[in-house]
Amino acid sequence: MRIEHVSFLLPDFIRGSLGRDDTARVETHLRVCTVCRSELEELSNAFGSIADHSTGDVPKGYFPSILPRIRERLDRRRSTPWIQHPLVSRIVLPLGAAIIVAALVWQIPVYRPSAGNQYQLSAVVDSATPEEMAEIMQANVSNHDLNSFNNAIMSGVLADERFVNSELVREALASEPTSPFNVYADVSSQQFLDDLHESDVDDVLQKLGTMGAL
Amino acid sequence: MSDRSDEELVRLFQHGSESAFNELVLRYQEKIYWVARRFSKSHDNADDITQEVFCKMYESLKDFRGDSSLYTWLYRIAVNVSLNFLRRQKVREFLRIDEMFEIESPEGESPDVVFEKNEQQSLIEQAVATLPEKQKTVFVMRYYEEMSYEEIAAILKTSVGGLKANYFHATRKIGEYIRRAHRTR
Repeated sequence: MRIEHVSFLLPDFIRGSLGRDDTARVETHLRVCTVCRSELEELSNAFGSIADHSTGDVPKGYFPSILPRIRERLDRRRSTPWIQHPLVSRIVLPLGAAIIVAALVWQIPVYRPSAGNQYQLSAVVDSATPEEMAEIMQANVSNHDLNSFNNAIMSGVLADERFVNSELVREALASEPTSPFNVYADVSSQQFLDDLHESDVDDVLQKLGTMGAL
Repeated sequence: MSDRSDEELVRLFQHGSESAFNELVLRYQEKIYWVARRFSKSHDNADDITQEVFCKMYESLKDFRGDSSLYTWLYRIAVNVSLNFLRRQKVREFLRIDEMFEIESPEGESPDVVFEKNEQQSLIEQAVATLPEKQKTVFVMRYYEEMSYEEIAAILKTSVGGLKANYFHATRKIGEYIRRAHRTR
């Protein structure tokens, strides 16, 4: 048979605030249930401890000081009634805070899909052999249709240490001493890529794709 | 203090008598303070809550229709303000705003003074403060205010059944907290 314990009635039983029927029920149960008897003992000790510890003191002269301060607080509220308005405190202020947080979050640099092109371009740099990149560069040197900005981008790509030190690149650069590539020869490709505008990166990628480098 | 009834004072206030409001504050300030104190574990917090409760009373008393006694109505405000205070405090503790921005306590007290104040909190206040919100609320209302479960259920908008369990667990936890504290001292 399932025993229905009376634990939840015990606090009121101890404090004498239980109805007559429930009191009788608890007393009957306690005669046969050791679990509830030990619970009763534990709770009685708990109430004893609670009774032994009164709540803290109140500073002397505190209560007479309440009313004037309530009055002051009410006066302050009257002087700024708009902020107390439920529409302001529940909608306008939280909404304003949300907008500020959103604006701040928007400023944090995070990876966005459109930024992926830079990673793709880096991947091209990393995966291409010096010979392949030198070919691309030479093709660009001879292609006067490319605008100077794209030339600069290409030189940035080629400024990667591996390519600058490669014989083919040195030859290519030597063939065009006035090339804008030389200006960027000491700029690392990664730094250069990081500084590029999205649309420029897209443009270069497209050109690299056309050249079969991608 | 006059021996005018609550109903009479409310009616006078609703007709513009500021002194009626003052009289109601003086009548109930101590009771409300102790409700707040038991919820909020410190005098400063209780003081803040008490002022807020009476400000809310001032702002809402014109709409009071007398469906319940004034004290029950006021008590409900006190519980709500106390619980809101505790929730805000919990969020503040979570964000650790004071620590991040090294803001001084509202009274400009040094950390030493704040620490000393915490030390002065009674053991029972510390124990009650460790309880989950629901258990804390039920314990304060049942143990200190000696409210019936039906009254508590009406204020908290909950069923009576769960309240008994909350009271039981709260009592056990407080007893255990005090015992442990004595063992470690």
